Amino acid sequence: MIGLDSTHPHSFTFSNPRGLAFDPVGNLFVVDKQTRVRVVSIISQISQIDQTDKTKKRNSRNIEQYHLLTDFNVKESHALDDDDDDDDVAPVAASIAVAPDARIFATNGELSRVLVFAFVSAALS
Amino acid sequence: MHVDETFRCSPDDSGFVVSVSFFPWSLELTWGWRAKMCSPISKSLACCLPQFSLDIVSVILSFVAFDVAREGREPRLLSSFSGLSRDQTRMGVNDTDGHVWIVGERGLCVYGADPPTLVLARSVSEFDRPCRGVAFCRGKAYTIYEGLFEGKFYRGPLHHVSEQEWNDFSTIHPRSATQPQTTFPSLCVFDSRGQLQRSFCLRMFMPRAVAVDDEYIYVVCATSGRFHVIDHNGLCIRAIGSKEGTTSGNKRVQVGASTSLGIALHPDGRIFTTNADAETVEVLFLVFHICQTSRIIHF
Repeated sequence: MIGLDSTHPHSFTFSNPRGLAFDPVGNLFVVDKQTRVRVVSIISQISQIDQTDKTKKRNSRNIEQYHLLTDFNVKESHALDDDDDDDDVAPVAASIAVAPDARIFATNGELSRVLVFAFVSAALS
Repeated sequence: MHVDETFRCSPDDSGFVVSVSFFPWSLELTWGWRAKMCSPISKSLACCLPQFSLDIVSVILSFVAFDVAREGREPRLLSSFSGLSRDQTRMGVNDTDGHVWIVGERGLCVYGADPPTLVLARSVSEFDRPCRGVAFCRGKAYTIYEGLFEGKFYRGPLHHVSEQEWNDFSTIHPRSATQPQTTFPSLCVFDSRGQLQRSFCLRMFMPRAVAVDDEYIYVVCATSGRFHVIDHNGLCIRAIGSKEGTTSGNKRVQVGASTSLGIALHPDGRIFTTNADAETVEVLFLVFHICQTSRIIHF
């Protein structure tokens, strides 16, 4: 679970994001400045709220929950990387995009390459 | 993962079915005169053991499905390709043909989808200004181009600012009112083959990210920390800052480095923007809700 920003119900904190993209089923891919990609599942629930003011309106409100599914690093040697020494790497360019067929394109400025990943979420499978 | 235990009567009321699913596993026990007939194999198994049947086949199939699902959830590196330079900072994928567009200080490059081979390259000299972002909607590419900011002067043929336009703009942004011969940033629309279809002026400085849907174009501006909602005719519907986006009003959007701003559209229409200060670790995601029908922006 990713921490929600207490000052805003529709925001949450993340470290050093650079680019973000959604796949066709709504998973959020965020790449940070160390070219680590985090995959976040967003679960929305709509709750009905009865206002107590004079209008007596019945409003709906979205409540989002953000779950970190997995993360990986934009490296050629291995897609999955568990080490925490990424602070030494500071590529200037880090962006991400998702193709219509759900392939993930991520740039690694240090390698001067674009890497293509496959990620199929549970909703797709 | 979740555990779901289900106890129910079998459909023919001849026994009980106990189903325990531990996603993505599932285990189903059937007790009674007939077994649950969920597959032809288990059906034959049920014929052999009419009194009590453990649906082994179903369990095995669930394990196989789990292996496939688990493997799919771990990202796999498919391929990679070079050609990216350090000044190319933004990337987008065409939503119809899957071509990859990479933009940056010196122009843009378009790569074919599979295999990723270069199919189009444009230098910045064609448009006189660096490209800062790219987004796609129905096969069309929307790119944003730099203007003038604090002494950096990119003189281009497009959208030279008239005196009246500058006066209007400097009223809104008084600290930027120094250069009478400036150029505003612009937005260009290309078809999938890279042919320029149209362009219009962006009344802001330092656009850094763009997103597009059927109704609006959303551009994040680095100088003000705002993002602008623009219709497809170039008319700015509204510029939204962080103070409007937060309920308490005490959070400020951090104005960061040139690559620190991003924007993406959720499939359900919500807008997600990132905003990172280059000096601090704190980053704020703002999620804005836009009511498409009334064109009123809710928070």
